Amino acid sequence: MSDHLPGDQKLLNTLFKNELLNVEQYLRCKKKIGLTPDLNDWRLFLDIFLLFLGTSLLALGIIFFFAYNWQDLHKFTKFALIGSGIFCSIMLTHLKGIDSLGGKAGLLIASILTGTLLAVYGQIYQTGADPYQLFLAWAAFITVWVWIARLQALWLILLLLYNLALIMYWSEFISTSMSGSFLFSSNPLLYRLSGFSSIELNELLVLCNGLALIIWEAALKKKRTGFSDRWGARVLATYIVIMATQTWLSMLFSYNTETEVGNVLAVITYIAVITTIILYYLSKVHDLYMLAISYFSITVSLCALVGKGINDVVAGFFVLSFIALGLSSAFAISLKKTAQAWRAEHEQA
Amino acid sequence: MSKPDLKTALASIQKEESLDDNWLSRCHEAINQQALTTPWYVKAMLGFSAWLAMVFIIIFLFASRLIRSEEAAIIFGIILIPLACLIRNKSNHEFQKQMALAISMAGQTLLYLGILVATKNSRDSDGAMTAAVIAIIVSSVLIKIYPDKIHRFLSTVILITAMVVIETRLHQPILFNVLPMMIGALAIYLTTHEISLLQKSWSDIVRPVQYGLLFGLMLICLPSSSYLIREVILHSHYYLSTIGIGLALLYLEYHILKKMGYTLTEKTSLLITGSTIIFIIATLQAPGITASFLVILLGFSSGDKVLQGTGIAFMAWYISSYYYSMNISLLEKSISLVATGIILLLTRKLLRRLRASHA
Repeated sequence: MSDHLPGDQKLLNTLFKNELLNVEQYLRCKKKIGLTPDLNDWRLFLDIFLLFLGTSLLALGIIFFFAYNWQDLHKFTKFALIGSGIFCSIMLTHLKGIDSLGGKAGLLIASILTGTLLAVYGQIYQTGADPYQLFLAWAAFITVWVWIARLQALWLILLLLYNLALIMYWSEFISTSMSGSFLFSSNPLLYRLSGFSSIELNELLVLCNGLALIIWEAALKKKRTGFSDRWGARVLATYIVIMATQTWLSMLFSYNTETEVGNVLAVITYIAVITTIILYYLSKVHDLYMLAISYFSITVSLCALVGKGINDVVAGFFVLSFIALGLSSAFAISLKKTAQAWRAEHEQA
Repeated sequence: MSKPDLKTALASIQKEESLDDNWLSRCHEAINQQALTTPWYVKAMLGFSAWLAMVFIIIFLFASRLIRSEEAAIIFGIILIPLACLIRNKSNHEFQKQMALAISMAGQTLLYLGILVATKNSRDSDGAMTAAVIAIIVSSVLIKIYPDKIHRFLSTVILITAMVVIETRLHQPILFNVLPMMIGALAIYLTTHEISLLQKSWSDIVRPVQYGLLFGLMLICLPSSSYLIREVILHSHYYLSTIGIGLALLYLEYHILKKMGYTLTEKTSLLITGSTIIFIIATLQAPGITASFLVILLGFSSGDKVLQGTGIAFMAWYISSYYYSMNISLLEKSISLVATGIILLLTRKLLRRLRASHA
């Protein structure tokens, strides 16, 4: 089905309500623009859906089968099983071709299984390696595959692994006082990942992922293979905005006051991130989503700033409700105007 | 092959039916006058901001001691909800829209909480039940009279939540499991009767209510995905929910097959129906999986990518959490997963073969 504009249904309804289209014309128009799937669309949908769901369930079933027998398996059998999984996935890529959906899926599975292989190796031989080493090695091993697969999902997985390695390294060697969230205290990995208190770590993550976003946008601009749509950049930008906002909020409410430099940097980082995103996506690349997340972040941050500063609770919350409403309304108007201007620009072009 | 945009489609209809240029220019004029549709993420941003403002309003009302008792909360609720409707109906300005949304949500929270607390200690009435009944009445009225998509979506979700509360309080597992089928059937009705609803000028209500229904359906299936909640809190017969949603799903498939020109006795129809029944049986204890399949199908049939994405995300969640938390051995889980996977792949193969034989 075509990538129709989200407003097409509404526009069709308007034409129908204004009696410009009768029932038959309305239905035909819907079919023409791809809002109603035809027989071929349904066939393609069923084909992909059944293949994807069937393969996923089958693969899960096989994993569960080995998990059931895991304790009884010899260590070499375990390695052989995972190794053959990687081999089969690579063979699939080889047979189907790197540019096919199956080929890319093969490299995706092989990349995930590499991590499993490393974890099993560490478990069997009790290597005593630090968790960050596992993620770093995993990321290093799959980097070449990611490069040749030209798949946005794999690039995101690679970035996630480097992020995890950095977080683990930081919590292990640099700041061991990360408080983490009590909600995740039962799980060591989640506990560390929820370490909201290290402002410096967040700043570093924002910086590293910010650089990754710049490269990502450059790849999109140059229309590199695999970088045809913007969802990957949006996921990455959302993560950066969340981290920058979290850094700002942590500094504001003094969850961590290890260094004054870190606090000042938190303010600079936040302002720099939001300003850059707004300016870049307003002028260079037209992306309303990026503006919307930045505007929402500003609403939350300003509410937090005012909330922190007020002494009179009663008046404070009254004012806060108006700030939240005022800002969101102003931003909604701004987004609509921006979208209209872009549409006019697009139609003129 | 990519499909044409709306203006190109209109131009081709003009050509096919030899309509005059005036018709096309009037269509273009109507399209250009129509404001741009707000994307889902902007609506989400506005929704979150309204919730934030609602929390601040409620804290303000309590902190200022304007509300000191449950009676005061009820009175404020009764005042704020019509006030919100009035503001929203009087103005279409963005600030007033957001303010009305926040005031309405604050009013509803105060009203339901007030009723809950006021009747909590009463011997004659059940606080939660009373609050839920009031919530159903208020939400139903607001869906009709409050002209805002975000509000209609939220009202539908509140309505479904209230129904769940009632059914939980009645301690009737059968009733609890009938609700998903009713929601699924209503969502299908809204999709399949699109034209008649459009002719009745219900088009502004249909889409947000459909979103609310399907989102609510996903939410009420959530307890089934957690072993802890399944066993400790609800003691519900989830297979009944799956059968109910499954029946709705089969009806939707029948409707689509009929629309595509297939009769029920044709091999393709029999194959699809048969494999769906096996799929439903295999996931009998996990209604969320069947429900998310229904959402994906509805999303695809109405060309709605947000619904499709939501359905896929929920399906991934339900499959992973269900099989993770299921209280059976890993071997049994493995057999169940492999069998379902093979059936789906076989169905695909047979469908391709049938298509090839027809070609």
